[in-house]
Amino acid sequence: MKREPEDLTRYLNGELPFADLPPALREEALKFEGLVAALDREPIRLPSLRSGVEAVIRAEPMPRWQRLWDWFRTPRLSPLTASLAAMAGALAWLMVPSPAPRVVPVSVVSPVVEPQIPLRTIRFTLEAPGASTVVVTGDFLEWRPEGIPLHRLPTGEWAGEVDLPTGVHHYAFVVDGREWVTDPAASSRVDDGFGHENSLLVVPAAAPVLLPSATS
Amino acid sequence: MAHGLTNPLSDSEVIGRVLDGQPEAFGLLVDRYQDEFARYARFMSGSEEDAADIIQESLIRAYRSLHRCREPDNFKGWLFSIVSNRCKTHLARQRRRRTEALSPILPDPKAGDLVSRGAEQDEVRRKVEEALSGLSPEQREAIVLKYIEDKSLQDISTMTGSSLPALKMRLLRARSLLRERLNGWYE
Repeated sequence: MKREPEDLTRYLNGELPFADLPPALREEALKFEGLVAALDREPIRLPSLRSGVEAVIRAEPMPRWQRLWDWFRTPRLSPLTASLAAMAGALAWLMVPSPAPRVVPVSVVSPVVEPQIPLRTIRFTLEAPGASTVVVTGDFLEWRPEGIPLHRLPTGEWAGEVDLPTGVHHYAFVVDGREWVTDPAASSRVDDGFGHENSLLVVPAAAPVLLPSATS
Repeated sequence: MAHGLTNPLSDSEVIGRVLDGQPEAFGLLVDRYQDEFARYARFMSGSEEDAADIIQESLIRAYRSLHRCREPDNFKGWLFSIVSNRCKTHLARQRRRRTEALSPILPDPKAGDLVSRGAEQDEVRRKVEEALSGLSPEQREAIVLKYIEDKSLQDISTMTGSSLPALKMRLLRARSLLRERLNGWYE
């Protein structure tokens, strides 16, 4: 394979003007440009894709995360059921012994719907001393950007616990509601197919979770 | 395409509306971007028909994953990464399906001044496209973005997530392979 002279490389990379290209290399440069110029560079106008895309959108049910979100946002308690719920909550609170101060794990699987899935409490941590909010989200939350909030520790670290089913999960942190951060301590990362990386978490059935920042 | 005066909403505003329960607003993004990467998809896939399929699939995929768009102000860049991935998946499938080897190195046509010879233009174009299809998806992408879409190295680096040194090396190898495959036409 013939080696490309350095000046020619710089010219073809757009880093050297044609005027500065040594005359001996100009013919070579024009030959290459002539070849690629043979390709049709006219802009392509596709027939409208709007109806096709909209047909798919209409046919699809609303994503599960959005149904859940809408459910949470929709007020639905009557005064009677609200009172009953409050009484049940108070009773449950009285019956549960006071725990040591700790971050309360958030379960992402409803025990009513899927009681057979074994859950393990996973602790997520992120070093972000300058952050105002940090949440963790992932495939276990259908990637809802509001995620599960972590709590600031005096060390500047953020931490939170989540009850997760055993298996493989992809997750990421969202800092200050806008910056998506891959867990720097994650032992594995995977391409998310959209130009970023997600952290990978393996929650085994019995053995400890092998992930530096996410521990059971 | 609807831009500016006829459609003043920014991409992030449109995305906000879609996520707030107005899925029909996504049509604005379809109108805005369906042609943006059509030529790129055409040269990556090899045909306008495949390009249309790729762009439609990408837009649907973008809609389904809209809540994962981390920078709504950069929807265009995010959509490009989806289109790019769809193109590469398409090429991988195409390559698996292909039973014949790519066309051998071209015969020597003693073409002379290629561009000025109008009668041979279609043949030259066909040969260059054939040579292009022999490159790896990443090399092909670099050539298409640099020499067809006229993007700067910095822009390509941002769009593809490749570092500048890696990109320069990819372009250098891609050019060498093109010259090799077009040897008869090139000399």
